[in-house]
Amino acid sequence: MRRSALRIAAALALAGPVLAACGSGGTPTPGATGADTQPPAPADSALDPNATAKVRLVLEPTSLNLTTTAGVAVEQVLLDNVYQGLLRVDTNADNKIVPALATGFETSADGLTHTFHLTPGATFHDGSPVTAEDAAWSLQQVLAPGSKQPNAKSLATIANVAAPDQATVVITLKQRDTNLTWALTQRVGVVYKKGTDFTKLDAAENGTGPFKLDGWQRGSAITLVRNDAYQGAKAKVAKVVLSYIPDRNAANNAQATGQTDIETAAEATLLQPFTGNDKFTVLRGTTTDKYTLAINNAKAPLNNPAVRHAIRRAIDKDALIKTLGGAGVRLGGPIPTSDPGFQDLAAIDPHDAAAARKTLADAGVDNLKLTLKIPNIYPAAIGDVLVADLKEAGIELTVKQQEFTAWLSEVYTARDYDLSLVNHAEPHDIANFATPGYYFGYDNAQVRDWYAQAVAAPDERTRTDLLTRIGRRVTEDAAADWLFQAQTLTVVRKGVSGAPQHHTSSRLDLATIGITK
Amino acid sequence: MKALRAPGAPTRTVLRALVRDRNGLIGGTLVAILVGAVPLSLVWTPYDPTAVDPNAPWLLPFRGGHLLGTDMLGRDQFSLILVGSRETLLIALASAGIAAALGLPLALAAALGPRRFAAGVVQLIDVAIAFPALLTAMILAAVFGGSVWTAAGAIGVAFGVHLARIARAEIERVHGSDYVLAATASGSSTWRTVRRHILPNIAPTLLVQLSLVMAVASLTEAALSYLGYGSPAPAVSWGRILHDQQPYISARPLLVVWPGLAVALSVLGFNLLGDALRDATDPRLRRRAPEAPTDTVDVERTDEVGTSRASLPAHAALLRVTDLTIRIAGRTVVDGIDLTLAPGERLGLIGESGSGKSLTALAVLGLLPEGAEVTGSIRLDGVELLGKPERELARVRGSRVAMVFQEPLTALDPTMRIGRQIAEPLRLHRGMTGRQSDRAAIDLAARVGLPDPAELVRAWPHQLSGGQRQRVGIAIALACRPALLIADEPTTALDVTVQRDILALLDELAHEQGTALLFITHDLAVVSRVSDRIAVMRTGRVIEQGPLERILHDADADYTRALLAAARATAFDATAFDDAFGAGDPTPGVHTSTETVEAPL
Amino acid sequence: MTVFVARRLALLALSLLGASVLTFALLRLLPGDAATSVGGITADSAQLRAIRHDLGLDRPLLVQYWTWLTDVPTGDLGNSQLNGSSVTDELGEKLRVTGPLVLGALLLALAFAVPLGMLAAVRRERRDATVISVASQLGIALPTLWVGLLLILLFAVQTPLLPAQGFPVDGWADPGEAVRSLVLPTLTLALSEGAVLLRFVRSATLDVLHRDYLRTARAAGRTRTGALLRHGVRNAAGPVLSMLGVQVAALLVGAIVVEKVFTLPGVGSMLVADVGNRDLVKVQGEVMLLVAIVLFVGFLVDVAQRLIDPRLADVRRPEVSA
Repeated sequence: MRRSALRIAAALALAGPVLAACGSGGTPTPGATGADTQPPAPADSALDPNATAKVRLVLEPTSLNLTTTAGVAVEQVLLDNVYQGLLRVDTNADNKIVPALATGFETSADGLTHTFHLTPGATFHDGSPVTAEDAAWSLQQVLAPGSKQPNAKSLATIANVAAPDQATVVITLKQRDTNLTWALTQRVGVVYKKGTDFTKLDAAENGTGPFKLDGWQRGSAITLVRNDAYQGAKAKVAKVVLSYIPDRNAANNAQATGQTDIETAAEATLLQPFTGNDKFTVLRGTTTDKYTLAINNAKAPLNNPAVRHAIRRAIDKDALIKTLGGAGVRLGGPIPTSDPGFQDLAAIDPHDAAAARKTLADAGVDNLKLTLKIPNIYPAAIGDVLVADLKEAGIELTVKQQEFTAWLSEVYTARDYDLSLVNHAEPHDIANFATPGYYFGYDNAQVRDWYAQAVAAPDERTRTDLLTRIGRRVTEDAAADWLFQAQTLTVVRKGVSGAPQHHTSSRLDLATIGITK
Repeated sequence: MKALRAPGAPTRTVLRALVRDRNGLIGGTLVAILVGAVPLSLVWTPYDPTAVDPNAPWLLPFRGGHLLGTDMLGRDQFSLILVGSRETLLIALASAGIAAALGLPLALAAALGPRRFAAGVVQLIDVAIAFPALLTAMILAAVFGGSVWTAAGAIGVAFGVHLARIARAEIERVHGSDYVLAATASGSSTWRTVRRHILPNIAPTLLVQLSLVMAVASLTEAALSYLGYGSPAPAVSWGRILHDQQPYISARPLLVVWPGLAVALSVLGFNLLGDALRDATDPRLRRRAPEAPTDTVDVERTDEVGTSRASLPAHAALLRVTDLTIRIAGRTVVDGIDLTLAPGERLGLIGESGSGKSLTALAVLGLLPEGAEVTGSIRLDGVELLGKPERELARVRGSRVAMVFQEPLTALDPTMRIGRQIAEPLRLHRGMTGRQSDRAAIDLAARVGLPDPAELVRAWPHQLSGGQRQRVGIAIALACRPALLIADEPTTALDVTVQRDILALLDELAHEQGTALLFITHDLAVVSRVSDRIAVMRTGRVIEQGPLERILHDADADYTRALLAAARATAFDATAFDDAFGAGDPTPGVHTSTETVEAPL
Repeated sequence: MTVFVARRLALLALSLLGASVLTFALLRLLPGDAATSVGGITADSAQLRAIRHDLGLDRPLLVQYWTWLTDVPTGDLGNSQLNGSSVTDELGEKLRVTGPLVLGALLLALAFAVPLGMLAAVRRERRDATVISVASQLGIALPTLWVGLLLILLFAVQTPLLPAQGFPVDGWADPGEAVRSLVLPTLTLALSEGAVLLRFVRSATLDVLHRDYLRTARAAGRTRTGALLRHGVRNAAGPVLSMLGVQVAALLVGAIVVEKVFTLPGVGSMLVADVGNRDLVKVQGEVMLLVAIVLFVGFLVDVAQRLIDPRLADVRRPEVSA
């Protein structure tokens, strides 16, 4: 059972934040610039409540319908801002699960019953109150047979959803599921008004969040306006213009010339106009973006673990991170730093081209020629570095750039590939290695067993322990190679506070943004 | 109506012309550098171009032994650029190859296929041209993965259909030409005709177009790389380098300069070479540098004897040309000649093609080509014309002195009605407008013997026969009753019977209006009909001058006698003019050997 | 003339029909479809099948083609497969950016290419003509992308005179702002296309400069310049016009790159995005629009040429050249 998978556009969205920071004197040098914390926000009285915040984003959604269209782009805009679920994550606290439309919940001792209490006073944008009936109905739509909602399967353990009274939702599970609360923070957990016509969501939204959708200039921008009737902390600006500027250079120019107030996913090697310039702050944020070199475990000679280990040893990840600008951290295994089960696994398969060469020779593999399929949204430099690294180990690598949709059908669906590089951006996606049908072609009965146990684990420690073991085993099996975990850089104009900093490609809480008068 | 050059002949001439042409030289050099870089890159590069050095990123030129510096991956830029030449040349050649392989058959099918089929092909070509080439590239890249080949495929297809359109027009032109028609009539098979006659003749145009395709291919590759459909590693292309470096344009401008320069220079090379190729294969432009007239005259050079100076008193002369010397491109083509015409006098100026007689005439009107150096003196009505500004010369032309040209078929503006053109001098010099000039045009048309003048002035030049058009030319020339009419071989291009009528018309009108006539011809039979006096020119000089009768029967110069003998040998009979016109019949072969030598403009 | 226009229009319709078949067929070669895009990698094969069915992608291709085609004459280019929005409406929106961009670039290119090209031809042997020729060669040789980046660097970043990228969110509501954001893109596009055009003009002018009728006109009393303006321009216009159709096609393709460099929400960037997302109904509409524009310009050029050159009006082909 696959819980969560990388999302189509998670990969697309992260074309940007790979590259590096700049040194002084106009020479872009690897090395970290960017603050980890931002100055405290000024008092509300110092902010202009009528201001418009202009934010640069990378990837425009293809649709505004969360119930039909997969992809992180639509979630980035709509989750938290326009639509909300019972729970949400706090991106500033390592994706901690916190209340949203529910003030809290209780779990029964056997872990099979979750009782949620709705936030009093919450209303939809049309003014009607949010009821338990609405919440139950929304979840039931995801669970309905034949549901085409993206990621509907992440709620598959739910046996029943009930609304015993106006303010209480009870979810009953078929079995213990430690992933449930996380799933509820995601799009499958969004509460729609009962009876919403999901086919019309593109044209008519009726959310509960601090913003209402104002307009979508396709190919250019999405505009949100403040929901003045919001029951919680109201948005600090009257309007947000989300400008889609895919080109990193153009985005930089836009930020430098004041066309935008906040530039998300800034290019690390292009920070020169902003560093050492007190008109701007550069924020460095965490992501769960795992730049994953998928190795087709099911295809000879890559089905030989020795060959996979050789490939892993051939790649100098530290140098790669450095060359790409330093906006990333070494990631030895499949679990990113902010996910449960993270451990430093960089010691497995350390970089050594000679050893890689020898491993290949010992395995009787020579003149290895491989093709790397890589969606054309990623910087070509990654391919260049991999070609150079593998060449040192005697592997001839040819890169094939393709559109993401072509990648989806060739690599993801048809599994026709040797190596593939994609940014697996989704948090909590270790299940991919416990899913035999997944495009990695990796299958280990022990890992599958551990994962099932982790899902049904009675407590957090047991679960984390199992996940840690999975991470190590997957790495020892060289199921894939993890080049780095990206960091995201956000450039903020002076006078703008409360800018989103972490995980900006999937969640972008805009309500905290304030602009000084 | 020049015969098209024989297939295959002038390869060496083209090459020589290419080298002489400055564009050709520069373009050729640039392309040679590009082509030379490819084998060099195969045997030697200063560094491994794909080797990444994380410890030496962003080096400036000449630092750390890197001639052009390094990029953010620490790769040696010079090695990358050197190796990139392979992809660039490959994409250029592949695009051109695909374009030719697609365009040529399409063009042949569209030009020579059965009518309905051909129409279909033409339609297809039009649609394909309108189809965005970039979309083809994107589809190919999506299906096969982005590479040099998908880019070349898209560019090749896009320009193949474009080429097909151009080639089709060329084929139709060549196919309609006399010698191809002759070949077809003599039973040559279509394929043979294509191979022997059509392909060699459209080859220059094709080559020029293909050189353009090569230029555009390099540029398009850069654009495709930018859109994410370029050639991925380990292939290195300039477009890719340019795309990879473009974000750093402000921080590291040099890194963007190198690949940009490489692309720009090779595009420049292909373009200049294409231009030079076109110039070299275009006979019209080749005539810009005239060959020495002396090279082509096969009559023995004679001494200058008996050049009798005009004996008229200076004040009575209408036109007095003194010591006129014309140099074109450093070569003396008219060498110190003297000519004099009295009012109403009729002077025949004869000589071989290339002897300088036409240039002399053009000099009188100030119509010599740009760059001609003229010295001496040309006085009309005692007023010096040489050195006069164009504006003042224009005032004299068409009013005091006018000219009738050799080629009636091309002398008229095809986009303007006959009446308008006849009335043009009247509007210019007499200030006539509207109705007035229309009426005058009808009168003039009637006077030159054009049928149904009121209707005819509304006709277009292409609707008239050659003889009719020459009458129009005469009407234009005589519209303002000029004192001097220069006729430059006005009958040479016409049918024999028409020649006679035109000569008669000129003769009659000149007499009637008292217009002096400077009649230029190589044809003694013609000149004897309309001249009082004759001047014989050879290699830029007037070697003999005198009354018609004396020259015909008692010429001083050997050359004149040789000329007379040659004319008599063909058809000339001094007493039977009707037969004599045959000598002027421009049948190819009689004087084509020197035809291209002449430099009319 | 009426007969000609009618026949030519019929041919235009036929061409468009051909283009529609070509477009539809070629796009079906692409790996993946709208369902791949909608479903991403969260959908399993059953879900994908259901999405395909919902989108009508499981119908026979001929049926899909016919359904789409029969709506086109009514101006309905279908709806986006990803978000259901009307393709016609969105194209109309995008044309408000691309239209002014391409038209402006064309006019600007003509404005400098025609006089400079003629000058370069007339003064062929002089220095100023050499300068023009070299500049135009460079203009052709420099990648559009490069020119665009340079202009941004100079006029938006270093001296912030004009917007570096983008188009106002509220479109033409503020015409001044909209125009300002189109200045640099238009200039970029005009420079490279103008350089090409300049060479056509130069070559066409060179061609007529050697024509006998110019000499005739001068012999009749026109000045060099006078003859060129009176007789040369009309005659040179033909070949230049015939290139215009191709030029407009080149401009539209160039616009795709320029729109990306300047992040303009125009037809070009829409096309690139929709191909990537496999929103093929939209792609069809966009391609048909581009093809229709080019073919229509070709039609206008044909009509204009017949107005200029009376020889074309005669049924019998006149002699091609002398």
